[in-house]
Amino acid sequence: MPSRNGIFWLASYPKSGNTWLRIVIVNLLNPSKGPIDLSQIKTGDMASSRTWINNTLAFVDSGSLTHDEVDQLRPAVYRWQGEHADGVSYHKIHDAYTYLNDKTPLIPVEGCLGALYLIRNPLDLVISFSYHLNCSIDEAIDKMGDKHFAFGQSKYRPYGQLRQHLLSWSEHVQSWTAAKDMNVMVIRYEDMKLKPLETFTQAADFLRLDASEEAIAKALDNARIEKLQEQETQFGFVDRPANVERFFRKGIVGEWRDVLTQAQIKKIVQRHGDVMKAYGYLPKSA
Amino acid sequence: MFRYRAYELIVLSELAFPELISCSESDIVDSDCVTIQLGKLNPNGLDSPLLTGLLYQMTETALWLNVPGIARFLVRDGNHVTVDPVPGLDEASIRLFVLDACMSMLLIKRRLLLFHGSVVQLGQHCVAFTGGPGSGKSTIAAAFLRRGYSVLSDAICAVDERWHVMPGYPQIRLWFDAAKRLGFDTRALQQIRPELFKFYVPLSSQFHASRLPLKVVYVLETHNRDEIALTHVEGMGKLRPLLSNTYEGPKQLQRCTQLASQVSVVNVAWPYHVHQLDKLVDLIENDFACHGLKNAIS
Repeated sequence: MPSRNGIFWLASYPKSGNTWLRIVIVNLLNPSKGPIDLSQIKTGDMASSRTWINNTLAFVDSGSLTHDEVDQLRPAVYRWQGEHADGVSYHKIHDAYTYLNDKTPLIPVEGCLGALYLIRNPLDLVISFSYHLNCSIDEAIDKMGDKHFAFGQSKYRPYGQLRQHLLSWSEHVQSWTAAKDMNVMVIRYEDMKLKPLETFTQAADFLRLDASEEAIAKALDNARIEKLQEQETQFGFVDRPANVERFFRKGIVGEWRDVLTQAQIKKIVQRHGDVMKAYGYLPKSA
Repeated sequence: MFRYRAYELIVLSELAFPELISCSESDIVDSDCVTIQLGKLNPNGLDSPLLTGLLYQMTETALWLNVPGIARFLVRDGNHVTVDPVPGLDEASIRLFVLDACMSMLLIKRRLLLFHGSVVQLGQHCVAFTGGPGSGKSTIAAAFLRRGYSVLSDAICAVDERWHVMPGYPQIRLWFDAAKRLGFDTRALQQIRPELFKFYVPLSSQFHASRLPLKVVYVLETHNRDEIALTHVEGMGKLRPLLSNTYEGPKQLQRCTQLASQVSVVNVAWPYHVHQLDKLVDLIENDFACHGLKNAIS
């Protein structure tokens, strides 16, 4: 009998639709309310939330531990949280699915009900990523190709988030989709945009959200990009990086055709072509 | 045995703690003492624990904590600490976890209400800065230090039954970036652990070594806007931030509810740019008057 308690991970490389997914989830969890305002968009704590980790460690401050020492404790934290969960909880994660030196996965299977992995065409993702990081597209391409790329790894200042190894974009995708014994469903951002009702219905079913087609349609309407942009203009959005004008930018598919140069496209395809083919972003014969 | 004073306790320790203020043998007479010793501890924890967390177990009289790769700790009866370190661990790391984890366990067993935060003296009162990890608690206390204020404690704020804060350790801990911005030469400072670029900044004559009544709790959080926002929290709205920022312990809800009626609570949202620190301190200094507190330096 499947467990009724535990964690679903909402996993993605940054700028792949994770926030949009969570906005829809929160709307589905609160169907009687109107559109949920952006300040209430919180499913569970993010995997890399230092507050979540500290609360679980109780008397131990993760800020007194090195990044590597914290990583050693993270599997036990997630296992504990999943096994003691009161029902089902949903937690965003940007970390790649990595392993400690003793081959323990950072994200344990115990206490975990599954992972919904969102993937987005890297040709579009890189544009969004460059805005998010406030860097050039070429710099964003390099970061997406860097197996050592990580968030929150400074040694000189504290962060509210733990260090998150992203690996390269391709490696990030492969790490999650090949995660041993992990119940993973992959959803493409493009299908979320182009076939939203069908795609979000599949996602809701996987995530054990008991939602009717009508409820999903309503949640999708509440989460339309225009409404989110309007809310952000009026009230701001907590996930917007400080040096970026807005979080909800365009949210369109195929922007790369108008923005990327041929050299940039070639570089991305050279680095990530195999994974792009596997998920329909390049013809298999390319 | 080494003898020290911290949180109004006399600490008799088998380990040397250069971070603490030494005291004389005559100070021990009629004083509340705690002992710290090295010893082997059961790797499986306590017999019949009442409460079990990921790393700790608790009975009525004992708290056992296992920090993998660091040490096991046992606090008994609120006044005995046993430390069982991993072989070969450096002494600075052992000391850090005793000062933090063990002391917080001990103070909870002594039924004090503990905040994660730093405390600054203002005349006959004090104010606390609390908030989540990375919100700037120690940084802002150090900024007040630089302006001539005295500090009661950093990291662990211990509140007694009369809502007085107890004096802690005579230093603030700062990460490299914050220390540099505030003009502290890290080459002259001791690292809290060899692997971490976080430093002990001695309070010296600016350590306030006696209890003071708590007047205001400033709850810090960072945000992605350029401005700094101070918002006074009223009524039962104070309870949630107090609960969120105190350690779980006996009667935590009851005590936070009582504390909410005794202190002011102010939410402080700021962008955590260290170049905004002066402005943040200015705004908080201006806010003191709203709570009947005088700027200590005026």
